[in-house]
Amino acid sequence: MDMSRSSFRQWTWFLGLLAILLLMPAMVSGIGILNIINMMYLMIIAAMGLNLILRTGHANFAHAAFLAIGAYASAFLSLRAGLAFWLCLPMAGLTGALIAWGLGRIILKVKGAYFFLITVAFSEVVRRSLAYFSDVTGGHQGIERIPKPSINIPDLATVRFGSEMSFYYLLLATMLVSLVIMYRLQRGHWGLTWRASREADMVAESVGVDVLRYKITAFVTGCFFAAISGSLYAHYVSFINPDTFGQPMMMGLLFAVVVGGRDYFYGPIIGIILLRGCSAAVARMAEYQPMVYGVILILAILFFPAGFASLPSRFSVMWQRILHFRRPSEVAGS
Amino acid sequence: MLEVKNLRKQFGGLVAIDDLSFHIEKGKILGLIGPNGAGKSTAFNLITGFYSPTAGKIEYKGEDITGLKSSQIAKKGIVRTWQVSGLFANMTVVQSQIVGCHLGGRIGLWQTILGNRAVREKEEEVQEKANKILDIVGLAEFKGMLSKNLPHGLLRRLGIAIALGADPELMLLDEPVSGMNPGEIQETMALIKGLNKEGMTILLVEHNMKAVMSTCDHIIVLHYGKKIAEGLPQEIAQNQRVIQAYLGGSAKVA
Repeated sequence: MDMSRSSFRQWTWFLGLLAILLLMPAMVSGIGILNIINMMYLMIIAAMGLNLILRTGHANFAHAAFLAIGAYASAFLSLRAGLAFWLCLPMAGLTGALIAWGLGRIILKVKGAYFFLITVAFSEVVRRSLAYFSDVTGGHQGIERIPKPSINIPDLATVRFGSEMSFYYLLLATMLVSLVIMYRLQRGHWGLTWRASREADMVAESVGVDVLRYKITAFVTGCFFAAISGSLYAHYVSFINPDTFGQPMMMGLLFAVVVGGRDYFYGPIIGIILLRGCSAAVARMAEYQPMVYGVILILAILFFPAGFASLPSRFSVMWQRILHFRRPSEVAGS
Repeated sequence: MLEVKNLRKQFGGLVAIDDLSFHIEKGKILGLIGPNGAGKSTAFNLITGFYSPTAGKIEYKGEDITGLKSSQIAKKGIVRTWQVSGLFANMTVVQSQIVGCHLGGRIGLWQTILGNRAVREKEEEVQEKANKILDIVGLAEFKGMLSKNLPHGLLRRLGIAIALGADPELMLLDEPVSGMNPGEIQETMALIKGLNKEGMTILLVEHNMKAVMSTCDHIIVLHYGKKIAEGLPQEIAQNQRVIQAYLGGSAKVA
């Protein structure tokens, strides 16, 4: 009895949320806001992938580089090879996954500062290569006029995903599918083994966990979604250059994961919505954007070190503090 | 069952294990003792594949397992416990135990993504196995607790429980009762004896002499990486070289 009631409630929540998401374009006024939401969806796919890798204890500072790999692969395949977007998208993802596999086999043996340095170096190699091999990549000028996706039904109609609104549904669908896949992976056997590899890799190894293999799988999966996100970006914005995927994007993703709450599945979603939302609010004063990011990050780390996703469980503790007007440490110290 | 032949491990100029040979018979409890720095932990790490030996051979059931990865050695049935007090610190007791049951609970990536009924059945099966082991070692009531919040004695027992999840035939226990009070020591040694009675072979490293002498069938003494004595507990207790090694005058012995 209890089971059916709770699952009924879950379904109500789910359907309600889905209805809101589906009606979103009708509810928001203006193309500008829809554009912001579209970019949020894009970045959520990438940030979720970043957090999936972080579950194994590795902060992938080459994540934005994998967005670049996906974006350039997709642009190249559609412009030079003339492939349809629907083929470019999975192939861009697979390109990212393949490169991640080759790289991960080597670099996932190191941890901490060494992993940080290697991934930073790799992302710099990617960025410089994209700028240098200008015959293929267009150099600093980048690639323009990347075609919008379209569905061609012979003798009937051609649906072109040219508008913000049509792209909204494409991004929403891709994001939801990505979230379901990542949720299933993180919830069960894989997620638990990934966490164990972070907590104590030697203990895990001693009971038969092939830790390196599990870390590689996480890295490949996370980078796959980064490349998917990159491909969507390329076809959505229609223009990419090496600086699109530089340090600001990387920091944006990492901040979102930390601010949102890296130990929560939906942490990166909250992080992206929060950071993108705030930076959109000050968009007219673009020069203040880094400052906004900085302030949010400092506040988040000071007050919610486990991220904003921990807010519900922290709320009761905070309420106590407000009531007593002092910190528990002061009480203990006096 | 396990045959260690002329094992040697060198870290730079330091010889941590020097020409060590011994074997363990099936169903026995073998004690490995020696003063601090004698090379006991190194021997453990060599047998379980966390170090690869400079020279020598390790055979398990007649099969050469030298240089295999730790996870592969675990698959063969050799599982070790750890002295570390951390384990999977931020995971609950039951989650840690499920990871311990990894070898019987693996689910493919695509299967996980597609999420069919076989996945759910497998998950339930592993959950059941984990609960059963926690029952046996007496941790059932702490299931939902984070590992890091467990008191020391129970944490050590969780370490054994996690290792049991891999269904070992040979279990290597690294100081299982260090830092425990007499009551906890008694309980843990009873647990170890019980496992042995059910057919598990055990290699035990321990500093608590009373525990070692009362449980082990056979004892090996290491000193500066070398085996200086081997025999029944009462023989070892009276061995002059062993007494010297523990109480001083070690330079002459070495």
